[in-house]
Amino acid sequence: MTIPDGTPVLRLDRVVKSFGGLMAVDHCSFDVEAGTITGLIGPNGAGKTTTFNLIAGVLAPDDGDIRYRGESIATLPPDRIARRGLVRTFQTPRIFARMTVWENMMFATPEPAGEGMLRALFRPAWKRQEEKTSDAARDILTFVELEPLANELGGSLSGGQRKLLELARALMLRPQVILLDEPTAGVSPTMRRILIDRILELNRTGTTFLIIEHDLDMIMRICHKMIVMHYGKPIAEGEPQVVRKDPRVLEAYLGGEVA
Amino acid sequence: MTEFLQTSIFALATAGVIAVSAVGLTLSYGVTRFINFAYGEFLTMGAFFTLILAGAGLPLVPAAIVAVLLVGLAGVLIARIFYDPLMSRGPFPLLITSVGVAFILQNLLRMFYGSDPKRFPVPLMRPWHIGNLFFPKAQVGILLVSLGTMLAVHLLLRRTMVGKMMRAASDNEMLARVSGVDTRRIINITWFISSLIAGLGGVLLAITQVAIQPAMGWSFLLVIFAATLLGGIGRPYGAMLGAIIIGVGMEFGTAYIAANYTYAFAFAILVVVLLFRPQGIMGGIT
Amino acid sequence: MTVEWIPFLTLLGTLALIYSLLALGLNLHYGYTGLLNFGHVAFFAAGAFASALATLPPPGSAAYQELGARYQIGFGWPLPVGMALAAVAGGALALLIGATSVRLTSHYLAIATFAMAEIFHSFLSNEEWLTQGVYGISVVPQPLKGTVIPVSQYPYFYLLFTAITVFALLFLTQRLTESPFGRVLRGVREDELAARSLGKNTPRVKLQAFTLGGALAGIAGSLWVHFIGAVHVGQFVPLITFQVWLAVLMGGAGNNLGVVFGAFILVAFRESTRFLNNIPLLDRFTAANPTFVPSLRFVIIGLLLVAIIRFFPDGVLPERHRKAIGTRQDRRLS
Repeated sequence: MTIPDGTPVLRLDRVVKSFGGLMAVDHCSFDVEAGTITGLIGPNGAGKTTTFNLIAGVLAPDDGDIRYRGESIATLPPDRIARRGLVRTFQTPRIFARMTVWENMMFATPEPAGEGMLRALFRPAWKRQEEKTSDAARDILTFVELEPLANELGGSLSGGQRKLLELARALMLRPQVILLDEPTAGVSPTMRRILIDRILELNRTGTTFLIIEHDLDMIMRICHKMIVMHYGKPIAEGEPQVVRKDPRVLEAYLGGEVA
Repeated sequence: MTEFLQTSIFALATAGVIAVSAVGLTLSYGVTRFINFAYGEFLTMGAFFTLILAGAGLPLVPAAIVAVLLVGLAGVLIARIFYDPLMSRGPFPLLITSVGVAFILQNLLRMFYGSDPKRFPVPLMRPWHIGNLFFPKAQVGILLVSLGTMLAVHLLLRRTMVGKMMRAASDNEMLARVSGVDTRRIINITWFISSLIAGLGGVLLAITQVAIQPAMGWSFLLVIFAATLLGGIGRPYGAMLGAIIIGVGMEFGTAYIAANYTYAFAFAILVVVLLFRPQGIMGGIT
Repeated sequence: MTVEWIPFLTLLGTLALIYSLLALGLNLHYGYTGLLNFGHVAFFAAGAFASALATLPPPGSAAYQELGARYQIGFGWPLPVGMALAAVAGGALALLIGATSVRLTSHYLAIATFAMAEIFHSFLSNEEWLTQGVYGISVVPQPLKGTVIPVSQYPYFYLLFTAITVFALLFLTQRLTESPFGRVLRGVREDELAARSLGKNTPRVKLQAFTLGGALAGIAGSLWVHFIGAVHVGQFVPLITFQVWLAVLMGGAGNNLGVVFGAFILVAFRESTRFLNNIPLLDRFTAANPTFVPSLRFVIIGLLLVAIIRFFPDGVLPERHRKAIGTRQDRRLS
C-alpha cells in the first residue's frame, strides 16, 4: 500500500446547516487527506448524508467553508464540483433506469464534444471522441465485472449491480475524490467482495475515498482514518482501532442506536 | 374610499367562491397526492345538475342540494373508474388521466346541452343600501354560504373521526395505514366530500360570476389552483387564506389596474407563488 | 354524400404534418427531457402571430388598401423571414417561460406552464393593436397563391412545402437527439440530481431543450397560419396542447418517428369524425344538435388519453434502447 501523502485534499471548516431550526450539521470541521480511505460513521440522524450533500454542492452551508484542493467549493453548484474531480454516489443508487448500462457510463463523460447543441448536429465533430469514451466505459465496466450487462437497461439491474454501476459511472469522470454513501448496504456478499476489492484497488492507484458506512467491521478493515459524527459534528477521529475504544463513541452508539 | 369599500364587498364574495372550491381541491390532494385537472368539471356539473333539476320543477335551493350530493357521488364513481387503478404509478399518469377526464366530462355536457350560456332562474333582488354602499343580496348570500362551508370543513376535520383520519392520511399515508386507518374508505369519503364541495363551488360561481356553460369550471380551474398553491397545497386553512388573497387581487386588479385581465391577475399570482414560494404560505405537503 | 378523397387527404396530410412538428417540439420537452409542458399552444400562437405580422403588407401600402382589411402591424417580408421569426418568437417565449420555471418539478411545472400559456392568451386577446383581438386577421398572405401556383393546385403545393419543411426538421431533431446532447437530455429526464452530480449543467440543458421545442412549435405556427390564411386568438386554446400530448403519448414519447406517427393518427381520427354525420340514424340526431359531433370528438380524445396512459404507456413506437457502439476489435475488423 502506498503511504498516504497526508495533505488534506478536502477540508470542512466549521460548516453549519440547519433545517427550520434543527441543526443538522453543527460547526463541523474535519480533513480528508489525499490518498486515504476515510470512514464517516455515526448513529442515524447524525448528519452524515447532509454533510455529503453539503460537500457535493446539493446544499449550501449556512456558515463555514468547504475547501477542495485548497479552493473554496462551498458556493459551487454540484455539476461544477463534479467536473473538478469530486464525485459522489447516493445511498439509494440513482441509475438512469430507461438507459442502458453502457449509456449510463457514456453519460458521465467529462468530454463536452457533442454535448453542445450545435456541435451535436455534426456527427464527425464528436464521433471519434465517442469511440474513445466508449472504450473507457467498457474498460471500467470490465473492471467492476458489469461489461456483459452493457446493453441491459439500468432499471433491470439488481441492487448490488446498481451500486457497482454507480461507482463505475463516477469513475468515468476520473475523480480524485469519491464520496460513497453506504456502498455495501443491501448488497449480496459476492457483490460486496467485488465492491470492496475495487475500492481498495482504486485507492492503491491514488483515489481518495470518503465513505459513509453502517457496517463498522467492514469500514474499520479498509479505512485509514475514521470520523465519528454525532449531533452534526465529529466527536472523535483517528485510526480505527483507537476510535473504536473511545468512550465518547461508545456512548454515542450505545446511548443512541447500536450499529 | 367608497369605491374601495364597494370593491371590497365584491372581492369578499369572489373570495368566498374561490375559497369553497379551493378547499375541496386541497382536501383531495391531501389524500391522493396529485393535482386533479378534472376538478373544474365538478364545478360545472354542480351548476348543470342544479339547472336541470330546477328545470324539472324543483325549487332552486333543494335542486342545488340534490345536485351537489349527486356531484359528490359522481366524484367517487369517477375516482374509482379512472384514478384508483393508477394510484401506484406515480403522479404523471394521474395528471394526464385527469386531463382526459376533464375532456370527457366537459364534452359530454356539451354534447347534450350545447354551448349556449345559461343562467339560474334567480329573481332580480334589490340590494341592501348602507350609506353609499350597496350590498347585493346574492353576494351576501354567497359569502354566508362560503363561511358556513368553511366552518363545516373545520368541524369535520377537527371534531369527527373521519376528519381526523383524513388529516392523518394527509400527513403521512404510510403511518396512517399501519395505525389501522382504513385508507380505502378514507379515500372514498375524501373524494365524496371534495367533489361535493366542488359542486357547491360551481353553484356559487354560477349565481353571480359566470354564465353556466360546459367550459365554466375548466376556465376557473387556474384561479382555484392559484388559491390552493398560494395557501400551500393540501392545507385546507391555507386554501382559505389563499382564496382571500386571490379574490381580493382579482377584484382590485380589475378595478384599479386593467379590467380585461381579471383571471390573468390570478394566474400571475399563481406563477409568482410557484417561483418564489412553491410550498405556499402555510407550507404545502409534498 | 360522396367524399372528395384527394382534397380531404391533402388537408389531412398538411394538418398532420403541422401537428407532427408540434409533437416533435413537445417530445423534446417531455419525451427527451421529462419537462411537463402544459402550455405548448402558447409557442404555437407566438409563431403564428409572428409569421403573420412579418408577412402582412405594411399598413398604408397599396397592397394593404387592396386587401381592405384592418390591422396595425405588417412588414411585408417574405415567407422564409416569417418562418424564421416564428421560430425566434416561439423559442424566445419558451426561453422566457423556461427561465422562470424549468427548475420547478413535475406537476408544478405543468401548472406553471399552463398558467403562463393562459396569461399569454389573455395578452393576445386584449392587445388588439397586435392581434385585432376577437376579430383576428383574415388576410394572412399565402405566398405564390394565384400568381405562380394556380389557386386550385395550391393545397397540393402547400402540402409539399409543409412536408419538406417538417421532414427537414425531423431529420435535424433526430440528429440532435441521437447525439451526446440527446443523451444528456435523457439523463436529465431520468434523474436530474444524478445528472447534475455527474457534472452536467442541468438547468442550462433544460432551458436549451425548452427553447428548441418552443422554436419548433413556433415554426408549426407559421406553417399553420399561412395554410389557413387567417389568424385569431380563438384558435389557440389549451385543447391544442393536450391533443399534442395525446399524439406524443400515442406515438411513443422519446421516439421522434413515433410522435410523428402519433400526430398522423390523431389528425386522421379527428378529421374522420366529420363522417359521423353521414351515419344513418345518427344524422337525424346530429342535425338537431350541432355541438354533438364536435363534442363527441373531444370525448373520444379524452378517452384515448385515459386509455393510452393506462394500457399503452409506451405508445405505438416505444423509445429504442441505444446499443453500445463496437469495441476496439470491432472497429479494427471493419
